[in-house]
Amino acid sequence: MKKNGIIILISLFICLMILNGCGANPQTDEPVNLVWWVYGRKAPNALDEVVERANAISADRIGVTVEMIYKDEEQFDLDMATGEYYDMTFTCDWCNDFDDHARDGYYYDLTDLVVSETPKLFETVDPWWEIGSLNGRIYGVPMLKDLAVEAFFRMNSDYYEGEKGLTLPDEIAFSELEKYASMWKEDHPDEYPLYMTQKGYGQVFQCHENIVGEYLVIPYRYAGTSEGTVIIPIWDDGECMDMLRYMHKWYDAGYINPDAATTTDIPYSLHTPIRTGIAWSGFMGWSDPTVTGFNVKLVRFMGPYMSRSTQQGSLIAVNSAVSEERAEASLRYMELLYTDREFRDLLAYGIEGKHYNYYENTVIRTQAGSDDYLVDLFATGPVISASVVSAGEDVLADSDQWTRVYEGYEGIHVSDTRGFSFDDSGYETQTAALDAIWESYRSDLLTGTIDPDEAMGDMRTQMEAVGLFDLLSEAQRQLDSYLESVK
Amino acid sequence: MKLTGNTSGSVLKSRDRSLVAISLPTIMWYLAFCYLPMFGMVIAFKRYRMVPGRGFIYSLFRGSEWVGIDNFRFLFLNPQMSLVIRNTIFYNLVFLLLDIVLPIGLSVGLSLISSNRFRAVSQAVSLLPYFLSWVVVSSLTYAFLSTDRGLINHALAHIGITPIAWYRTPAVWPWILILTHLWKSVGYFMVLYLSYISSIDKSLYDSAMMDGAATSQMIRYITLPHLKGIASVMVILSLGHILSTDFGLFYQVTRDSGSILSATETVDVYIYRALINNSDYGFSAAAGLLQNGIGCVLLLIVNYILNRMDPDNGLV
Repeated sequence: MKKNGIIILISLFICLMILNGCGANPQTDEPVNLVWWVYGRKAPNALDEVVERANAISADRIGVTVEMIYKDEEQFDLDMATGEYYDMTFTCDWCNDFDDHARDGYYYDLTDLVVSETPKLFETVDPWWEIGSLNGRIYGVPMLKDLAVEAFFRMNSDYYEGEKGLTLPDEIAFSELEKYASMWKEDHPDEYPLYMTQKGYGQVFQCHENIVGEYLVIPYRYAGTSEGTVIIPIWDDGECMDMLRYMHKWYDAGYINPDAATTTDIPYSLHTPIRTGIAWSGFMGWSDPTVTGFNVKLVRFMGPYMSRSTQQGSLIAVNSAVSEERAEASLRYMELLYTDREFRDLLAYGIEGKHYNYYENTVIRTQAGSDDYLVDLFATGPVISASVVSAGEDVLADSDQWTRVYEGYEGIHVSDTRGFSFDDSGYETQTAALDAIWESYRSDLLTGTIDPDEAMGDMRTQMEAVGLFDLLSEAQRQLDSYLESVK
Repeated sequence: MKLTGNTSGSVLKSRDRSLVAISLPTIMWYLAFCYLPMFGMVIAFKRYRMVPGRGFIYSLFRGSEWVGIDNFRFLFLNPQMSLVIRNTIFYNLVFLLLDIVLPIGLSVGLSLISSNRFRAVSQAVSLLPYFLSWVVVSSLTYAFLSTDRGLINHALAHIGITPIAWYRTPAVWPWILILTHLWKSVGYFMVLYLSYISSIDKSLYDSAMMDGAATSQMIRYITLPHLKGIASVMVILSLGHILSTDFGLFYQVTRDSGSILSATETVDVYIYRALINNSDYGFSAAAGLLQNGIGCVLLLIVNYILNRMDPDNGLV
């Protein structure tokens, strides 16, 4: 009997353990401790240390502390769908979709609160509130950064300028890359000057505004013309097709690694003389010769172009289910991020003296900063309110860079879609099927692996069968009626 | 089946009570993690919308509208779907056949070898690949197949043959995938069959030898009949997954190469491609339900047929 009793007791204990595992974690009721979802594949090692210091400051100044939780794109989708608790969340065009979630009522309507509670914040973000607005109401606070898309070649200036005696221009046409690639290939026949991963030159697909997926688009170059609001399939965008044709030519010429479409990583130890990236004029993030192995000069080949999606690179939204008190606390926190540079730098770069040092009004990271607190600048707050980063004392950035970047936006091509966002309700089935077709060609196109004319021909046949043109008509109808409504 | 006679008239005897208590944690585990989540299957028939401030269960049952079989449509819209299903069934049938024939052949062969050390080493070596993750396997195959740095192309270049862009040549991929699958799984199945062989009563072989039976006759009349039961179970279980494939093999090992999709795209890879951008859980649940529903029906049919052929061979 005694033995039976012990068995039953142990079993009950295990059952209790299982039940305990099923239960939710107890929620803290601290009214000023905000749960903040931050974008990042991995939380930095020094997160606790930095947040503890930031919390001491924010608790003192505005009576708010935060618990930062890092999530990747998939975790955002899953946790949002299952109703996990948060107060503030990172949201944007490409992760934790702002427009869709604002439309579905997930985000707090901040329109009145931001004016009454945090007028300084309202004033600082003005005139960019439309980025975080849907149908005239504010659902997200834009974390201002570069708002336009500008694509650059990151070129080895030691080789092209030092060794070959050329002067790299600030801007070139995409096709002009050929001469630089062939020059390297002649000197290094066993190497690939345009070594790339399966993501390829993704910037090629940024020469137009994406309306549905990446396959229904409006080219930026039509902005301001009668074609500026006409949606077309990607294969009808001549500029994009030309770039893809060049890529295929370069692939055949041996400038691109033959397995690019299946390559997942390019180590810096592979001294690829030309890489690409999206940045802004004056950006120094890729210019540290100790990382790249040579000095880098940025040469722009596209943009700047601006549209709703390029503007929505980073926002913070507040959960629509939280109390007004917590929404106010969230706004106060965002106001602090915008108005206190030292506080902003703390979350952006870590602890001064340990993770970074100030030099000539800019920030230079220490080794500990690079190892333990290297986070995406846009994920922890507005980029324009943080100090700019210099690659080193010899490679100084312009500390007033943002004034110049925003001045540059004054005369640029802005898409005519005026903040339009396609609502795919009722068309999810088609978009999922079209996405599957698109994904099967994407890497091959962006790495020049396949002939774009042949591939687009095949893709067109498949996409038509799924109903691409019905979707195009619906998107065009939605765009026309939206433009009518905002006239 | 009755373990003991119920003489006392009580519902559970003392011994039964402790047996039930021992199995209680497992039963609860199954209830909590296998049966309760099954109700989530309704998501396949709903357009799921989260209700702000509410949890998943409330949002699913109260906040999301019914859409009938709408979520299943995305699977059949793609004109390539017949090819995708053909690939899936082809690979599964080939794997099913080879996963029985090769491991049984190897295990029977190994069981006849008298050196214990050789047998142990062979088992360990063939089992090792089973424990490697697909990501590692993908890197290993890439080291062989890379166009410019791969071992195979280097070897081909040495003998004057033009290097082949393996990741762009669909025709070779059925062979590569089948070989990779076998390399990784044969050891596991072999160990399984070997354990069955070692449990066969040795006196049967002794008697057969006394009667002058040849080795081939012993295999045919003693070993193989004893393996019939477990082999049937393997067939039934594999058919339960006829529309599912190992995502790691078909996505990681192929390195997501678009050029070879005609030979490598299976239902799971298609679903991943379709849903990578929109996280529609209704669609993925619909796809999973369909895959498993068809698998379950097939499993029951085959089980019924095998049961009719020989009542000892069925699974349920």
